[in-house]
Amino acid sequence: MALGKKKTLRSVYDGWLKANPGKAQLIVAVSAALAILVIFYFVVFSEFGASAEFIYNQF
Amino acid sequence: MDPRTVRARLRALVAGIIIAVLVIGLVTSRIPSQTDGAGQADYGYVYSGAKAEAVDFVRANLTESSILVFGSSEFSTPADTVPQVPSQVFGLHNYGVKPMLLGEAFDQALWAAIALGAYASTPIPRNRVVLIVGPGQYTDGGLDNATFKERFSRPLYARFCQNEKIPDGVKSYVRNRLRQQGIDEATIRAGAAEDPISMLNMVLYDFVDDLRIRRDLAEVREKGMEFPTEPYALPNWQSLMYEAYQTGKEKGADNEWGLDDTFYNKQLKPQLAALKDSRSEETYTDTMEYVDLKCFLDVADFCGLESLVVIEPVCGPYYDHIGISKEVREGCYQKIRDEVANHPSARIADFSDREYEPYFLFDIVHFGCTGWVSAELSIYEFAEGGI
Repeated sequence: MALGKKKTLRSVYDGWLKANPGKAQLIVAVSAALAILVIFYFVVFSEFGASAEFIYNQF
Repeated sequence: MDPRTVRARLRALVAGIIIAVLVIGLVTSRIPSQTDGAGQADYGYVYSGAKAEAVDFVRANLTESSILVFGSSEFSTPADTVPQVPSQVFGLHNYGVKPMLLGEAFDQALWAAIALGAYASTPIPRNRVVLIVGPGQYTDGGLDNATFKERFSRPLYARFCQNEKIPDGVKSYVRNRLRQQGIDEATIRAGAAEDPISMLNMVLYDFVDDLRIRRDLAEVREKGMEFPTEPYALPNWQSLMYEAYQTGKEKGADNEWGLDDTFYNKQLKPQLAALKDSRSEETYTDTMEYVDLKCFLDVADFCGLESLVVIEPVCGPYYDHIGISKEVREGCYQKIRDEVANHPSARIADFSDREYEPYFLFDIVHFGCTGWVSAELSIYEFAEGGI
């Protein structure tokens, strides 16, 4: 039953890609751009890996 | 998938990458470069790790009056706690000497050696540098790797590696020390850019680090001080010292050690009984810090710089209390003196005999009112060629 549903979804997906080649290309382009921009944001602006603010209290 | 579809998808992928690159270019062009707006304010006293690793920013804001001063947590002392900090003495007056304070808490001699090598790849004002050290940096075991990693600056290290005045032996020592402190091999190799992968890593690291620094400089720019408008004058050190003594007396009236009362009563007093003899095992010998100090002085020598090492003492009565004897502390001071003595171009401003002097420190390891004026006098005289 589950396999049949999966097959159906796949055929719908393939059918949509064939019917909408322009939109499919647009999705690929936007996905690629977003992936790079997310990595860029994460590395440069997210504060990930930023130095801790030290308050000196170890004497 | 037929070849036509594959080509179409690849075109879409390339278009996506181009869009991303254009957006990144647009975003990065909106962040001021390190040298934008240089000289609009005095950033010498801003306590910031981002400032210290922004070599181009600092260089663009140096003047003929500047002198580089490397240190650590003492630079964080607020002016309302110690009104004699450098921003108030040199920043508010036109004494002809403008310290550029570089360093944050836990920046020690190895960090300073790397930073000095980075800054000294081009001429620096007066050909003189100052380093502030104290026994707190020479504790057994040295600085732990986790803390060192937090303070390690790859951009400074890359510039250090590019400084042709520094011989391979010194660079090799620094590389080995970085390994000991847990810095990963890819980062170390990228600094030296010895092979194609390392060169590519360096390009990527440089791009990302530059953006990060430019982003963080926004906060530094907000904290810049206006330049004093008053005409040039010689500082009246006697008067400054008298005022410092009076301020210290007011702020340290309630404790016999002459520390800042707020610090003493809130942070120290509640713990004093528990701390009795708690550090009696300390020897100040089991550390690479002395060799790192030698490395700093070597870098200064190779770059043709004269250096001043300022010894910031610790609070004698407190250290007696926690079990680190005067003899052990004196051993630490002597090793520092010996290292300086081995470098003919290095001078020393040794305040180790002020451990028991009230108001010299505001807490147990940082300059207080009279301590800062004393340090500033030594920096001023050194900058002006007096010592």
